[in-house]
Amino acid sequence: MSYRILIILDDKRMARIKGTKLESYAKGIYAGCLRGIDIDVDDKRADFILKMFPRSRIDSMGYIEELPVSFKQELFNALAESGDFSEAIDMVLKPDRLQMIKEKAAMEDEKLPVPNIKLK
Amino acid sequence: MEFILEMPKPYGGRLVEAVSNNKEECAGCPSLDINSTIDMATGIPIRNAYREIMSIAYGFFSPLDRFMTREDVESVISERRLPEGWIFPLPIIYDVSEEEIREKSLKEGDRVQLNLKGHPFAYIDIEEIWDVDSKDLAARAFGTPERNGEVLRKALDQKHPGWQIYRNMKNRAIAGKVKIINEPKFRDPYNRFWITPAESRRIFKERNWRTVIAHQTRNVPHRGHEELMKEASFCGDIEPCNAILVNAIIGSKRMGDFVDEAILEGHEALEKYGYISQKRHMVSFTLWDMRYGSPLESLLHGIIRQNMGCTHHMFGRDHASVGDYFDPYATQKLWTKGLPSYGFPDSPLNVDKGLSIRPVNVGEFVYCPICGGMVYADTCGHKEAEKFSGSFIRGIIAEGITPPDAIFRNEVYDVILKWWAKYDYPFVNRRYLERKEEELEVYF
Repeated sequence: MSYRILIILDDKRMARIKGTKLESYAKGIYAGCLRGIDIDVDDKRADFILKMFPRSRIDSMGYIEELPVSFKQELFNALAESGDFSEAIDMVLKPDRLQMIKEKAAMEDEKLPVPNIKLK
Repeated sequence: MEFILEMPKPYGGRLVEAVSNNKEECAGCPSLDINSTIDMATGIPIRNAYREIMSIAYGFFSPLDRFMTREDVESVISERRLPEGWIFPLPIIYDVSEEEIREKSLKEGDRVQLNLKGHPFAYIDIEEIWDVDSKDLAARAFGTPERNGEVLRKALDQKHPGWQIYRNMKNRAIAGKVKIINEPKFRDPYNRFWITPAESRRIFKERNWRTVIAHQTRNVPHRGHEELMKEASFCGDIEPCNAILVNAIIGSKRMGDFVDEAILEGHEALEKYGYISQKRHMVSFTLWDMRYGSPLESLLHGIIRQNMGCTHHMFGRDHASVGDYFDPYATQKLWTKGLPSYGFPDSPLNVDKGLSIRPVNVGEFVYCPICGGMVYADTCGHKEAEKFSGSFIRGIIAEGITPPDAIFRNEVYDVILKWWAKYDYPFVNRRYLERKEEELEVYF
């Protein structure tokens, strides 16, 4: 069975993949209010990711959710670097990169920057 | 035509009201400090018995008026009923250590004063002191796959927050009736939403709300929740329900859940900005450290909201659930046709000493770009309709991306940002749970 990770593409991320073949995989979500890319994850890798990040889970649509922000950021970086979905997953699951993600994730549990949005 | 429904009686016939504000009732009694239950593996507070005392003493758990004896607990685990026959789904235990019993020379028949944050708060008249086998308790409190395989898919374990609460209990328990002798005050914003069952019943009458549907929540509302509340309220009898009672469960939660203040103010924002009329909407809370017991938890929710005066209760997919321990539709099955292995050959409405509150089982809401908004999945015929989940929304919020108004009201997102700025984090984390125990909820 295959699962998916959805990487949301904000303006900054869209700009980074503009003109590459990745751009063609970007899909509109909620009538185009958001854009994102689905990354397929096979069973074995999904299990590994769930073990590495105990709070993560598979939602009712088969997406791996509740992943650390740093994991998704690094996955996007790897995707932008390699241009290949499978390679991107392998890159973030390499021990040294994974260790770095876990360290960042531990800090995330303490503090996440508040978005710079003016409150009403 | 005649109206069919009216406010149900409190479950068991009368509301428990055990609050006196007379500290003299404990003069000369031995005293114990109420401490949090700590997850021994992580050191994080996961429950505080003061919340159960409040819920018992103010009648949310009526007819339960006490911490349970060994016999009560065995009856609850085997039949999901108190020995008197009233439905009660989960053990409510005041656990203490052997050292506490010894140091205070506690014995059956004693009245023991319970101190909260260093102040006299309540007492228990000790009916029984008994041994707690927390391992056995955790293994049986929610049923077992062998016995309850109709909906329980696998044994609960250390990843389940309710299992953790029972597993981390101390090895002795004191059982008996409780009474509050010194009411704590709620901090802002909780104080705006503290409505006891006696008070909610009074308000319903005052506002001429004959039929009220309860919405259980542990979430900041997204547009799916909002539509669910609006559409479910159309049940009623010969007219839609007169009002929606949002009743949030406030207490220790899973890491990653929304913080309690944002849940309450998020729901408040829906009425404040007119998305649900104040004439038909009220936000409140019950103190309880969620056990995530899915169908069992739904029975407790039914008891609480019947006691608050509601005629109906919404039950969705994965009600009060976590992980994949329970069938996602376990709660709806229980309220529709019963769960025999848990002692319910029929719906809890149709059994001896059953509940009166009526279930409204609801499906999923999805976003449909063709319809132009949130729609009920079963009635929308467009293949373009898009599902979304709470975890998806939490994910984009954590990434700092503003959720589109189509799935999340801007005014509700503002509430999240407000509390995010206060705690440097949008969700429950370790620091939040520790601070909550020390300072965030109540004071004297």
